[in-house]
This record gives sequence, C-alpha cells and structure tokens, in this order.
Amino acid sequence: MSHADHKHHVASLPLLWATFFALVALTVLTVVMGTSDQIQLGWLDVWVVLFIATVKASLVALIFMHLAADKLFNGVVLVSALVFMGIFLGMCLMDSSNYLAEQQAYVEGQQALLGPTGS
Amino acid sequence: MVTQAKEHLDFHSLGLTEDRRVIIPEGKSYLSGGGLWSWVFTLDHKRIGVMYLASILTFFLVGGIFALLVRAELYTPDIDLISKLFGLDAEKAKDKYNEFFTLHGAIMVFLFIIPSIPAALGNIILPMQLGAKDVAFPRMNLASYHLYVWGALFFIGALLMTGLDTGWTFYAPYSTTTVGPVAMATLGAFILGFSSIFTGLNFVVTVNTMRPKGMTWFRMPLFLWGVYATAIIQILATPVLAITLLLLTFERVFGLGIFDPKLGGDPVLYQHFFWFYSHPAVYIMILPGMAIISDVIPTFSRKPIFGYTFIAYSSIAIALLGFLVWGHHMFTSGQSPLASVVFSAITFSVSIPSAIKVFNWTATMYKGSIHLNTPMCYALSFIFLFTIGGLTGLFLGALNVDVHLHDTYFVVAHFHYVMMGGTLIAFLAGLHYWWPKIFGKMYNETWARVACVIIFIGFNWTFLPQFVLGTHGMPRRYATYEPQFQAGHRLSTQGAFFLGSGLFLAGGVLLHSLLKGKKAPPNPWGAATLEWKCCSPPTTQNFETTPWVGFPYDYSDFVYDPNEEGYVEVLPDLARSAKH
Amino acid sequence: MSTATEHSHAPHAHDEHGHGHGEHLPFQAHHFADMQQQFEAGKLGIWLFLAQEVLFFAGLFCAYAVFRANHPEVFHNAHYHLNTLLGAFNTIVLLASSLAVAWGVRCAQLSNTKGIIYTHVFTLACASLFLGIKMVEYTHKWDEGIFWGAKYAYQAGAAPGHHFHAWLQPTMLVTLIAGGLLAVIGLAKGKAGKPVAGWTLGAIGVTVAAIGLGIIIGQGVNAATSPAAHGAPSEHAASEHSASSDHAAEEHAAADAVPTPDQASEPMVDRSGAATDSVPAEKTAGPDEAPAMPATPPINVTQANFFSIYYFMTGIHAVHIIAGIIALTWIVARAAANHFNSVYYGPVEYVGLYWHLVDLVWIYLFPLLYLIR
Repeated sequence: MSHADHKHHVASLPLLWATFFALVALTVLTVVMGTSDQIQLGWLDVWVVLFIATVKASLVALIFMHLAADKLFNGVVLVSALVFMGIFLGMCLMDSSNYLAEQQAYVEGQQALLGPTGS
Repeated sequence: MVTQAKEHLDFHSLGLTEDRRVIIPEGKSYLSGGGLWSWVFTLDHKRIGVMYLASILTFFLVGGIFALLVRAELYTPDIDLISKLFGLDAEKAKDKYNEFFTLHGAIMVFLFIIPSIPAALGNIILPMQLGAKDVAFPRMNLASYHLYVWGALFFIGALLMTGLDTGWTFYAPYSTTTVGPVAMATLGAFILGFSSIFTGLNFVVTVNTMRPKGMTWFRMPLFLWGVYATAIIQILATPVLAITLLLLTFERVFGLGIFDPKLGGDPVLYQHFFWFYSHPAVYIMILPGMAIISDVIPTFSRKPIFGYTFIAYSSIAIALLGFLVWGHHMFTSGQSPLASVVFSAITFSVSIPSAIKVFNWTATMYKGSIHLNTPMCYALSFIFLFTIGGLTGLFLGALNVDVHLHDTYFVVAHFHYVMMGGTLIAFLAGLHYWWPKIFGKMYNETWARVACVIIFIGFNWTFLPQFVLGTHGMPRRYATYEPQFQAGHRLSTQGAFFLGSGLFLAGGVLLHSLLKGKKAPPNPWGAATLEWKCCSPPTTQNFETTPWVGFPYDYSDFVYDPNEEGYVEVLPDLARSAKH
Repeated sequence: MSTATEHSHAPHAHDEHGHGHGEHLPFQAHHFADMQQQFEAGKLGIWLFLAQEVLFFAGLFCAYAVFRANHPEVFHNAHYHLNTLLGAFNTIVLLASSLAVAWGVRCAQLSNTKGIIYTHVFTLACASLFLGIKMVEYTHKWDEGIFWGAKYAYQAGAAPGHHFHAWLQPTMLVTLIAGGLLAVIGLAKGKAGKPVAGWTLGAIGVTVAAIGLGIIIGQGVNAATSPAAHGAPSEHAASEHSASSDHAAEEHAAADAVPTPDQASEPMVDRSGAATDSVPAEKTAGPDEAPAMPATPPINVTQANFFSIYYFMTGIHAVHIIAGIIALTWIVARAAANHFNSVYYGPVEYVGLYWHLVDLVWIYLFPLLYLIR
C-alpha cells in the first residue's frame, strides 16, 4: 500500500494561496490595462492581455494542476494540444483576410439578385 | 484439442530431446454464456468489439446498397432508373439521387470506415496484442459503443426522414439553408465523434500504462503502433469536428451567422473547420489499415518485418503531418493562393512516410517464404491498390493539376482507391487474419481466396474507368451526363456489381464458417504476436498464463504441426524452461 | 505481471476475479496490476480528455480570432455591451474555486475527508455563483434585444423588447428558498447519521442557493456600474438602475419602464449598419467607423456576429460548468461515503483537473470578450 503515496506530489498550502493571490493580482492588472484610459498600447494591447492570460494559465497548469511535479507525458499531452490549436488558428488566420474581397463580391451579388428588400 | 495432439508431433525430428512445445490451455470462450443483456452491458473488450463488428458490417451493407443504386442509375446518361423505381419526375429523381450519394458517403465514412478497424478489430485485438486483460477504461469503451448506436440511430432517423442532400461534407451555407434533416444528421455525426474520441482515448491510455513487463515500446506489434497513431488523431482532430457540427446545427436552427455569408458569416471558415478534422480523419481511416498489413505480411512471408522502427515512426509521422495538409481540399474554394501553395507543398511530404511503409512491406516479402493464405491475398491487393490510390493522390495534391481535376471522377476514383482499396481491403485482410482467433472457427480457404480475387478484379473494373472519366471532365455528384461518358460509366457500373458479388461471397464464406467451420487452433498462421498465445476463441481474461514477450516478428520458434493444422511455439533448448 | 519477463507459464496467483496481487483494495479494477497503475491510467485519461477539450474550444477561439482579425471595429464596439466588472468578478470566483479544488486534492492526498467535502462544497457554491451572475448578464442583454446572429435586434436607446429580466427575481427567490430547504434537510440527514445523503443534499442545496446569491450580486454590480459601463445607449437601463440599488425595487422599476411610449412598435432593425448597432457616444467618438458608411456595407459582419460568438463561447463554457457541478457533487457524495484516502483519491484529482480546465478557458475568455480595445 505504501508504494502509492510516496509517489504523489502534495502541494503546500502557502504555495496554493500564493498562486491564488498572484492570479487575482494578474486579473486586476489585466482589468486595469483593459479599461484604463491612461494606458493605451494600441495594437500591442491584445498581445499584452493575452500574455497576462497565458501567465495566469501557466500558473494554474503548473501549480494547481500539478504539472510542474507531474509526469512529463501529461504536460506533453497538454502542450501538443496547444500546438495543434496554434496550427489550426494560425493557418485559418493567415488565410481568412485574403478572401474577404471575394466574399464581399458574393454578398453584393446576392443582394443585387435579391433586390433591395432581400436580407 | 491441444492436449490430444500432444502425442503426435515428432519433436525428435526437430532435433529436440524433449517436448518443448508451449501448450496453450483451453478455457471458457468469451463468446459463450449469458443472455442478451450480458452482451449489451458487457465490459469485455472482445464482446464490445464483436458488437461493433456486427454493427459496422450492417452499415456497410446499407451503404453498399446505396452505392449500387447510385451506380445503377449512372448506367445510362439520363435519370431514368430512380424515376422509374420511385415514380418521380426527373427533377425529383435528381434530388433523390443527391440523397443517395449523400447517404452512401455519410454512412460509409461515419458509420463504417472510421470505426471499422480501430473500434471493431482494434477493440478485440489491441489488449490481447499488448498482453493486457482489458482496455484501461472498460466502461468508457462500452459508452463508446452505446454512443455509436445512438449516433447511428440519428443517422437512420435522417435516412427515414429523407431529403439529406448535402454530401457527407455538410458544406455551409448550403447545409444551413437546404431542406432536409441536416440538423439530425449532424447531431448524429457529433455523437459518433465522441464515440470515436472515447475509443482513441482508451487506446492511448491502454498502450501507455498497461503494457506488461517485457512489452517495451519497440516490442509492440506494428498494429499497435498504427492504432496508437490513429488514436492520437482521434483525440486531437475529432473535437474540432464536434464543435464544427455543433456550430452548424446552431447556425441552422438559431441563425448564428458564423458560416452563412448572408448573416455575415464566413463559408470558407466552415471548410477550414471541417477539413481540419476530416483530412486527419482520412488517416484515421488508412493508418489502421496499414497497421494490419504490417502484421499480415511478415506472418505470411515467415520473415521478420523489414525496418520495424521506420514503419513504427512513419505511422506517427503520418498522424502528425496529416494535421498540416487540410487545405488541399480547398484549392478551389477561395482559399488564398499563399495558403494553397503551403498546403500543396506539405501534402507532398505525407508521401514520404507512406512510401516508407510500402517499400518496407515489399522488402519484407523479398526472399520470404510466402504463403498465399486469404489474409495475404488481401494484403497483396492492398499494396497494389493503395499504391495506385497514393500516387494519384500526388496528382491531386499538386496545386495546378488539382484545379483541373477538382470535383471530377478522378477525385472519386482516388479516394475510393485509398479508402476502399486501402482501408476496406485491409479491413478484410484483418478480418480474415483474426477471424479464427475471434470466433474460433476456420473458414474455407479456397472460396475465401476466390472472393478476394473477385473483389480485386471488381474493384479495379469499377474505379479504373473513373480515373479516365475524371480526366476527361466528368464532374462528380451529377445524376446525368453527356453521352460521351457512357462507355466509362457502363464499365464502372458492371464492375460495381461484380465487386458487390465478391463482397457477398466473402461474407457468405465467413458466415458459413460460423456454422460449419472447423475448430481453429490457437495459432493457425504461425504469428508471433501475443494474441495468438491465447486460446481460440480467447477467455474473458485473455491470458490464463502470463505470456512471454519477445520481438513480435521472430518466427524462428514456430513450427507447423499438421495434427493441429496450426503452428506451435517450440522453445529453443536453452536455459529457459517451460514450467507447465 | 509480477514475473512477466520470463517464460512463466505457472498459473498466476490470481483469484477468480483475476486480481494479480494478494491485497484486495476496494476500488481497484480487476484489469489493473496495482493502484499505482490504475491512478496513472486515470490521470493520463483525464489529461487526454482535457487535450480533447482544448481542441473543442479551439474551434470557437478560431472563429473568434478570424472574425476579430478581420473586423476589429465590430468587436471593439460590441464589447461595450459587456459589463467588465461582472466579468472580472466571475474570473475571481472561478479562481477561488480553482484554489479550493487544488486544496481539496491536497486534503485527499492527506486522507482528510472533511477537507475534501468543505473545499468541494465551496467550489460548488462558486460554480453556481458564476452561473447566477451569467444569468443576470444574459437576461440584461436579451432585454435590450442583444441576441445572436439572425435574432439580433438591438437598437440604441430603444425600449426593452423583452422582459427576461423579470424572471430573475422569482428565480432568485425560488433558488434561495429551495436551496436553503435542501441544505437544511441535508443537515438534518447528516445529524441523523446519514452522512452520504446529508452531504449530497447539502451540497445540492448550497449549489441551488448560490445561484440566487449570484443573481443578487449580479444585479447589484450591474446596478452599481451600469451607467458607467454601458454609457449612453442603455438609457432605460441607466434610469432603472440608478433609481435604486435594491434589486427588488429595481425589478419594479423595470416592470414600470416597460411600455415606453417613444418606441411603441417593434423597432426596425438594420442588421447591416454598424451605425445603428452603435455604441456609447463618449467611447466611440473617434474616427472608428461611424462616418462614411456606404449604403451597402463592405461585409455584413456586425455586432450580431460578435454576440453569436459571445453566446456560443460563454454558453459552451457554462455547459462545462454544469457538467462540472454534477461531477463535483459526485465527489462530495463519495467523499462523504469515506471512499477517498491517500491511496485512492484518483477521482478527486481527475474532477479537479477538469475543473481547472474550465477555469483556464475562462481565463482566456474574459480578456478576449470583455477587454477589447
């Protein structure tokens, strides 16, 4: 029986609490960044917001979900899911802005066919 | 019976001084005992596999009937057969034709091919090959089957309601605007997706955590490698189909406006979504087929597989590369030229691991002692047909050629060569290979081989003319055509019925064996993988004794025993000793 | 298993159920060699399930990214309809629940059954709180005609076309009373020596009651921040909310405000024009998009599309929360039956991992939907 428990990583309470407060602090930071009129980063803003979210997500994954102390393979599973998600998003994003004009032509053609009332 | 045959084998002729044969004890068959409920709610992976097998073969029959209806209609250029059969005018009959090819495609893809090898054969064989008692999550395995049945019921519902005419791809915005039970069919496919995910998840966990001692990654039979690679795709790609179909259903029912351009949606995005699943799904279909061939060829060549690690890694490589090429289905969809070029280039790279497999199979047979049993006949026709299917795939992967060939019969012929000539033939190879193990009965070799030859000829008769039709410009999915195409269509239709008769013959031979077949020995083909170290059919526990795990393609210890009409493992005269 | 490397054809030392080892643990499935293997299998299984979930949500994130990349102005304008403070509050609620779940796993590892139950009941309360707040958010938007896709009917300054809002108060009362009642019954059962029934009912009671609490908080925050967050377009909302911070009074105010005379007929909805879809004056007074809007807009992408994505993403996320509530209740029941200890606590960890993923998705949803610039 004893072989079961020594393998498991038990997270310490101070660490859990510290993680929680870090997450709350980051949430407050991102809200401030997202709403304040003083801080305007322009195009960078979405990336900063996403970066903060990723830091938060990493904290949850590494500490709350024990990935930091877990078998490597479980982390590989999560990371590979994210990689494939990245491929999916990346390819779609790369492509989508290129056919907007055609789509617009289609919509206009449909509207012309249907007349002014059609929609 | 093994115990009776014991006295008859002359072990002195093998240069042994004592009987060193591994005796596989008989046990209570997993098939025997229990009523209907003991099957419906069984947690035994083999029983679940057998239920899957029965279900997918039923749907194969249904899908096949639709295929024959479609082919019969195409015998003449006009729409006449369907309008006579159903008493419809030409326009209505054409709608009917659309429904038929849709149902043929949707049933074959979602209800037959995708679950065929992993869920049916894989469920039965995988734990045994691994040396495990069951898959990791038996209840989830059962849930997967029940979900399959529910998904199938939705499909049957859509079939009874009639009017599903979107093709199996459910392209928006047509699918969001056409009449017919699209939402029902997509919900069915959604449910089937989860069935598939559960199967894949189970297999990955089983292979990762339940290998017994001695079963290292590189002692796993290649069937396991193939099914493992398939399972990765099932887990990572299928959820995208699920969300796509869910979005489509909501788009249709609630007017969501993600895909329909009238509501500001993006129809090309639907195709990205759909093919992000459905191209990897093509590898869900073919990878397990290749995996079966990798097991069948060395067994019947009596020679270890050539390039084991390369075949193993090529399965994983195909699975991963399969995620990067979905855009080659969209060359003419309005996708950007940049994306098309990228996708076209990556598509070619998939041919590398595929070719590695074909070369290794061929090299395995070289100077082997080839036994032309039925599974081997199917394996040989697989290599032939899959090579044609794969090479014509290069035509379609090439951006410029595809623009010409897109949506023609060339495409139809190509994917039938890969899916039917590849997966179905491999499935039949696997079915004939493991049939004695699964049901404990031998079938009639002669008639099974005749069926195999008929299927091979019928298949080429059906689909080779379609390559020609396609290059001459015959578009797919049309009920009527120009008279100039009639010669090709006639050939194709004749071949389809010939092919159908071969499939019926194969089915008849197998069914006959269940009733009248001879009892199968534990190891009729002399294979070295672990499932042949169970009795035929296996017990519920699979292994009454823990088997010894060696290299899965080392046949040196297997000797044919004429009394048993099968092979027995004779231990070499070393320090190892059989204690039984 | 034990000596599988050698040619051991000796019959394995298993009983008729096939347990490999002599020790017979109550929750060890027959096909696993030992508890460790069972735990590893379950954990890998749940991780693969989470990978599957990531890809499931990937479709939605992809739709979001494509629409936002091509039509940033639509997203920017649309997000003013969302109450950032409620979103942030919900984020913190979920983070707290995540902490509780992680703590619960720790308790399980230390064989502290009471700890598992307390942390998980707290998590259930957080989950319901989240849903209650979400209900407030949804109903407020529906009342303004902010639906998805084809149903989108928002007009700036128009009277509320629907009164889903009016359902909030009865829902709140019913959930608070029913939840309280269930919790009391659960307490009684627990006192009567039936810990499983007691804790299960108690947990369900807390879950139900927390929905009501969520509605109260949501209404309160909405009332306090509505004018600031919504700005000009929701004049009716502003007036009704500023009238009273008490939700009950506010409810009446909403009911009174229904037959606004200036918009007697069904408002004509121009789906295509972003101009009518618009937005607080003070926020979009820039050169964003309002001027030079042609008669046929470039592409029909409007705020309706944003809200399609918004409802679908948050809706699917809410479905996951509901599934999580069911799973967490199951854990509470099993913990009350004293199933878990340091040797066997797999299910606590698996459900915990699932719950963390639900939190992870929200960590991304919140900035992507509520904080667009």
